Amino acid sequence: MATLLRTVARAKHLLAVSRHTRKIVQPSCLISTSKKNKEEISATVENVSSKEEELRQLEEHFANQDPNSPKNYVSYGWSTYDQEYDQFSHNMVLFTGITLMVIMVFFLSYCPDHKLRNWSMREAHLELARREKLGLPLIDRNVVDPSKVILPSEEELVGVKIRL
Amino acid sequence: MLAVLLGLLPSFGEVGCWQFFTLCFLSSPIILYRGSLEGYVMGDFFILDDWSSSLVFLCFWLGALMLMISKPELSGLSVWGVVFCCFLAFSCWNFLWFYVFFELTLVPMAIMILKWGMQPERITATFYMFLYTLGGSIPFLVFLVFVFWGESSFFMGFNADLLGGLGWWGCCAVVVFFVKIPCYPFHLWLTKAHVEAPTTGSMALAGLLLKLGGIGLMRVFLSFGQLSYSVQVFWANVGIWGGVLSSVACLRQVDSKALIAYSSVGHMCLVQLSILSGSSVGWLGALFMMVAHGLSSSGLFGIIGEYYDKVKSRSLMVCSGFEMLFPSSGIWWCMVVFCSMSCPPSLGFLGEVVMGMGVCGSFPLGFIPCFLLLFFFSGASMMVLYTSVSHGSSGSSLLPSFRGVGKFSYLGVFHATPLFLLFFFPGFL
Repeated sequence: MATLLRTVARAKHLLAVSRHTRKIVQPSCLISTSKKNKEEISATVENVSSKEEELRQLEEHFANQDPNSPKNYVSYGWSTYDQEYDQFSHNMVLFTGITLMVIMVFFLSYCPDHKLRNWSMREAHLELARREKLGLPLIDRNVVDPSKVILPSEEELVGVKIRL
Repeated sequence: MLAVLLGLLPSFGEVGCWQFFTLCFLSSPIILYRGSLEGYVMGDFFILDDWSSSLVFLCFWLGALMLMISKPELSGLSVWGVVFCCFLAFSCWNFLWFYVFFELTLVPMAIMILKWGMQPERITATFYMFLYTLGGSIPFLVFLVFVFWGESSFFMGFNADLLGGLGWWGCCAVVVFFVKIPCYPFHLWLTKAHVEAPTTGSMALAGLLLKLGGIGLMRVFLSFGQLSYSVQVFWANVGIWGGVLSSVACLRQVDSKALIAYSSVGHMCLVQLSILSGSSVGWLGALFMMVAHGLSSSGLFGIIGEYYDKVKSRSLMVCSGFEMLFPSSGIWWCMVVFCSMSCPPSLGFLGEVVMGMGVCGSFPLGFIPCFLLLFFFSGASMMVLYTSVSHGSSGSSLLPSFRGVGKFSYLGVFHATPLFLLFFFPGFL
């Protein structure tokens, strides 16, 4: 019981000291309370962690938690030091890269007859109807009527190299 | 549109990504809405047809995203230069001017690598880039002189079978596009350049410059290679096997940027095969894949570059624990990787299906197993990348960041969202 009380008293004393002076003194007095041991104090060790400056700087750095403070600004990635340029670039990239592109895709989607696809289909159907009416084959291997093609004569082809 | 693009030049110091987004918005009625079966001819030398218009829009979109990730006051002019040269090259209708702008893209790219690259090896990387591209373009220049000597014009509208008739010279004439794509034997410059380039440079390389090879192949084969089956089969054989080898090489990479670079080689070999198939379905698949690869690879390089800025290492051993450190950005990293893996519903999946139809219809059946191997290994390499970067404990001393959605997340948003939307609405391309 006595030991417990002494321990609590020492802890309270240490807390009070550290709160005021920020110097943690850890006396380590090897005092024996045994009745059999009559020796004096054998050793005293004091550990003074003088980290005042580092602790103070850390406390100052994290004291301000205001998200609107320029010091606590989290960059979007466009600039780490110029907040206005960072926000402007972020907004402009999103506007031009997403909003304008959506408008562009919408515009192109509703443009009339992109690449003349509809016209091509109409012309194909008209051509099929014409061929059916004339009794011609629907798909002909000859694009041009062979009877209308004028080929050179054999005499004109003498010496001409045929390459395949 | 050209005036708006030129108008951005005086303000290059202040050009931010939102100006390029505005340019996308303003130019979309001209680029994406085409009320004609033919292309829009602009002046004497420029045209916006089915292929060039999609790639021009990709140009502007990736320009915005490159400026999003970089400091505009530092690299605004280089990004503008790459976008401007690529825009002119994509929309060119004259072989001489196409050649000029094709080579001119190297200049801003070299400036980016030399000025903002970190390692001393960047000088070697730039040297390789110049050597491969300029060396491969000499036969093409000779071919152009030969064409002008015969036709007295650099116009792209011919329908001749010059390439097939030239035999091995025809094969050599198009080497420059296979260097740019890059086809497997000529891919070394890309792996070096990607590793040494800054993040913006890698995005430009993967997103835009590789597509110059694709569009160049399309233009040359449309004009001169209608019946050049021998040339097509030769390069298709080189391409399919090269794609498989590069995809297998992905699995052994330790450097994250090198892994993505080798996977780019595999994807672009697929594009090369589709273009060489000569079928309209194959060319449509190639276009889908070029747009899909441009967005997904650019997103991969952008996000891994941002992570590299924080972790200070590209090694897959160190770049781990991404999901734990940046969970709000990690979900978009996951989306971009899956799009690169051509998982449905992404544009890459649509592209691979359509490309498969084109290639299987034009080439012998022996191509099919190699094609399937290429699909498998490209997906496997992306899975390796994702698990290495996202999972596991962090190899660095970074603390988790829960800052919500910021610039880091928007990279993934603006890369992944178009890939998903274009799967459902591919008619915009």
